[in-house]
Amino acid sequence: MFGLEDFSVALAYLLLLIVTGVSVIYGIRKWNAGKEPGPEELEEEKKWMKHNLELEEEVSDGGVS
Amino acid sequence: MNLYWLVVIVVVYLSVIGYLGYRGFSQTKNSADYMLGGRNIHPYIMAMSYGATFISTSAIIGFGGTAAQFGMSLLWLTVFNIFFGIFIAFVFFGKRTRRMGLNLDAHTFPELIGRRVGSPFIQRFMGLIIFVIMPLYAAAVLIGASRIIEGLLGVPYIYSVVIFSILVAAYVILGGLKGVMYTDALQGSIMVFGMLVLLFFIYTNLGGLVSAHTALTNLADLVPEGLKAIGHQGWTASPGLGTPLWWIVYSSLVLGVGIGVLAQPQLVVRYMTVRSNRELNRAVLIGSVFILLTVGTAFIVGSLSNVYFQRELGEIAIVVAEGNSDKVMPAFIREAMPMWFGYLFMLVILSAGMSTLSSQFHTIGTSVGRDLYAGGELTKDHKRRRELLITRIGIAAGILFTVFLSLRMGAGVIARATAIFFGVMASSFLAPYFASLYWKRLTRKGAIAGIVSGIATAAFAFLFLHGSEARVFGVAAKLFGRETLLGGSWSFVDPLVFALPVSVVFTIVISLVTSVEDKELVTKSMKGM
Repeated sequence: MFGLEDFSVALAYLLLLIVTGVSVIYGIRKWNAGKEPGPEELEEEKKWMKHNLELEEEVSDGGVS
Repeated sequence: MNLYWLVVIVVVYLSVIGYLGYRGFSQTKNSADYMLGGRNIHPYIMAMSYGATFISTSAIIGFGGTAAQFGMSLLWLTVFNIFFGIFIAFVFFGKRTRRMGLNLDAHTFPELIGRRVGSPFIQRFMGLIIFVIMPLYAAAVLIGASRIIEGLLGVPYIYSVVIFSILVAAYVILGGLKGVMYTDALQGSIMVFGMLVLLFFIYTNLGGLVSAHTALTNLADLVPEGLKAIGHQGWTASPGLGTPLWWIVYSSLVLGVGIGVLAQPQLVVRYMTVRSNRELNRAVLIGSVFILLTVGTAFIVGSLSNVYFQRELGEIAIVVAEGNSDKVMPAFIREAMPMWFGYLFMLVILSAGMSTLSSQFHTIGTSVGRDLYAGGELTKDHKRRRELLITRIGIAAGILFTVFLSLRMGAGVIARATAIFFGVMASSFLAPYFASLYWKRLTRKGAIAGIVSGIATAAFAFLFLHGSEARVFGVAAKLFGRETLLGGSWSFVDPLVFALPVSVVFTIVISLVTSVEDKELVTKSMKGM
């Protein structure tokens, strides 16, 4: 397979394509799965982002988040 | 290479990165709504950003060179990178981490675990471990980038290290740019494009996929005696079962780095910055293709460089690289690829190095300031100023230590240094991290036991059991008169193989024999899961 005689290495090459394929299919099938965050979660996110920005400012002078 | 053109290209590249950073800066500074906008990012941006942080010059240069030496059995690591590093990471770790980060208002990996079980000690201890060990991984990335500057431009290695570290230091200190995923995404895109060209080139140059692999198989007789002696059976064959090389490839590189990715502090925070699970689902698609094209290409090209060098120069790759596996990829780009690709590859390397190093130094800074010093508790202004100061001193110390390590560590060390870091992170943090996300019965004492037993076992294994480090430290030799306490192939078994099970057992057993300290905290942590 693929010009690779060693079973283990050929299997790795094959699995490489399979796990990528599975991940791609998963991403496509679940493309719209998962709901948008509700108002309560949005508020939590705002708070989280505000605190995260403060932490970012500690790290760099530019304060770029 | 023409230095003039290279400088022009690099300056243009840095200007674009700077512009994107400035745009992110002016947007995120305005209001909380804009900040939230920062979270509402396209999954392509999130996946590319994660990928650019995850995959660095260590993977492309260091592990590419290791593949040139050990062969295509390293492709198992790419399988693990995609399966664990993307699929399991996003689907089973990412979603809950994101939710728990919000629930607990946690902003660093130590803070997440510390707040989950209500333990400032855990946050401080994890911060300390990360601060001490992260420079080893940062050095691996810095060495990878510097070897390319050395190999393509002929700049002496020591200057290459200094030039690149100044570049990254300026990048971190002047802008941070950490949260601006657009810069990371641009860098990720450049990496994919460059590696895709490289993959296409190697297969077409060697007559297609099957004939390239067959040619590599036929080189088996040229494996150096030293590698044959430890189990090397050719570049398209797996090392002999149970031989030293088998343990190196499968326990340290495939298992250590493959599983270790799940407990990487700089990657864990990435999950928290996505808006919803939907983005994580979508990112699985993009991230897997990203890893396939970057790491998969590096390992395939590294291995096949043996065929190219044998045909053109009559030597195998590691001989061309003067015995230093870290120099194989730079030598291949210089010898095999057209000039224009050299320029492109410089941008790939700048991208891969800068995106990972900046997040590493960022993590080093927060681990010492926010986690170790503050323990996530301080809010008063004067203490916050001190936290800020300590964070920045931490970053400066981290950068200096990284440069020192890069200059002191010998040849062919990138993959090893990376594997040590990944292994230690998994050994000490993975079990408590997983339990934090999924197990309501995890107790504070259980989490502490898991972390402390994991790091203690790993430290013991590095000092007394695992040959390559035990020899360097020399403690076993002084105390017991022998380099390691294990004989034969066992001294090649990665410390992770001992330490991770110990950490799992301690996390579970100590949790079961103690009771949950704060049940309300557990409910709060797992809200919405």
